[in-house]
This record gives sequence, structure tokens and C-alpha cells, in this order.
Amino acid sequence: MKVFTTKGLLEFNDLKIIDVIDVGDNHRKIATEFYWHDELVRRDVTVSMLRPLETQSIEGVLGG
Amino acid sequence: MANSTAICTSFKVDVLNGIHAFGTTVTRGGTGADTFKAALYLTSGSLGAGTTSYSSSNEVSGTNYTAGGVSVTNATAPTSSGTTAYWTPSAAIVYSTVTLSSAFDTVLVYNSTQSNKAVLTYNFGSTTVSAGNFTLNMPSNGAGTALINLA
Repeated sequence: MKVFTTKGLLEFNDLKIIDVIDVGDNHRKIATEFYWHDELVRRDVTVSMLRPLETQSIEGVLGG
Repeated sequence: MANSTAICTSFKVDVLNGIHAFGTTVTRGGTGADTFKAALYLTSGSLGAGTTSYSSSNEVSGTNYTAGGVSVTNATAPTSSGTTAYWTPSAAIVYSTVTLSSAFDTVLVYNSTQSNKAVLTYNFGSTTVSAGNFTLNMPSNGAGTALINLA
């Protein structure tokens, strides 16, 4: 299987793959890095958005 | 059951659906859902609650990235559960085979139908992409977990 990279299509088996995981307060981020002869030739990033965004109503204010 | 003070839950859903207009500057021309887009911004930007509309200032640039970003899939209408109205894009936001070498950390979701007015900004920490895909997976579409909640 070939993989698209900055060097064009390279054989998957010729690549070293490293997953870099970063967890923040509102996200989980996984960067999959592809190295060819120790050179970074591809980097995919997937972010999972973990924290919902909320707009609080003014019911409390109305209720005194 | 006694009377109570409340913002009606149906009103919250209506707000997400653009039903009510308290102002006099209504410019809506149709009854269909608007088109929303998602643009990415460099770490040098200052987007946040004060952002009012899309701007190309501090937007990322790179191979296969088009200024203005990509369309947001919106196949699920706003709804409510309990007293919370909510909405979430119905699919992940994906930038395919991009090279974004300068560090970026924020996505702006905006309404490209309504003068590019801002909806939300979301900071996910600094990152770069090289000849790969950048994917933003959405949270579960439910009250308290959806991307947008009117509680």
C-alpha cells in the first residue's frame, strides 16, 4: 500500500509511524506522524472536541 | 402546578432556527437552512467571544486550504431536551490532504449565508499538518454535550 506524502507516494512499510497524543481541557488531539529516513513526510491530526459550548439563559435573573 | 418564570424551551429552539427577530435589521431572504463554514486560524490570532464575523486576518494558508475554510455538514435540525436547546454539526469537519505549516489552534464556525456572521470559536491547542488530513470530530449531539447549548 502506498501513502501520499510530501515526497509523493511512498510504500507504507517503508515509513515509521508515531502517534502523538495531546489531551487538553476541551479536546483530545492525536497527531499521526509518518517518517521516511527520519524525515517527517506526513502529519495527520484528528481533534475530538470534548467540551460543549453553553449560553446560560437569564432565567435566574428574571426569577430574582 | 403553579406558574413559573422561565425562558421557554421552544423559544431557545426557535432562536437556533431564526424564528424570532427583536431587532429591525432582519435580512433573511429564504426559509431554508443557512450554510455554515469553518475556517482555521493561526496561533497569532485573537479570536474569541468578541469575534463578530469571518475575517481572513490570521487565517491559515497552505496547500489545498481555501480561504474561508470548508462547509459544515448540517443535516440535523436544532432540537431540545429538558430545558436545553442544542445543535451540533452532523459530521466531522475535515480538511483533506492539506499542508498547514504555520501553527494554528482555532476554528471559527460562521454563517456564510448571513454576511459571514460568527457563531463560535473553538481553541484545540497548537498544531500543524503536513500532506495529511485535519479532522475535527464533533461531540455527541445531546443536551449538555452538543456543540451549542442554550441552557
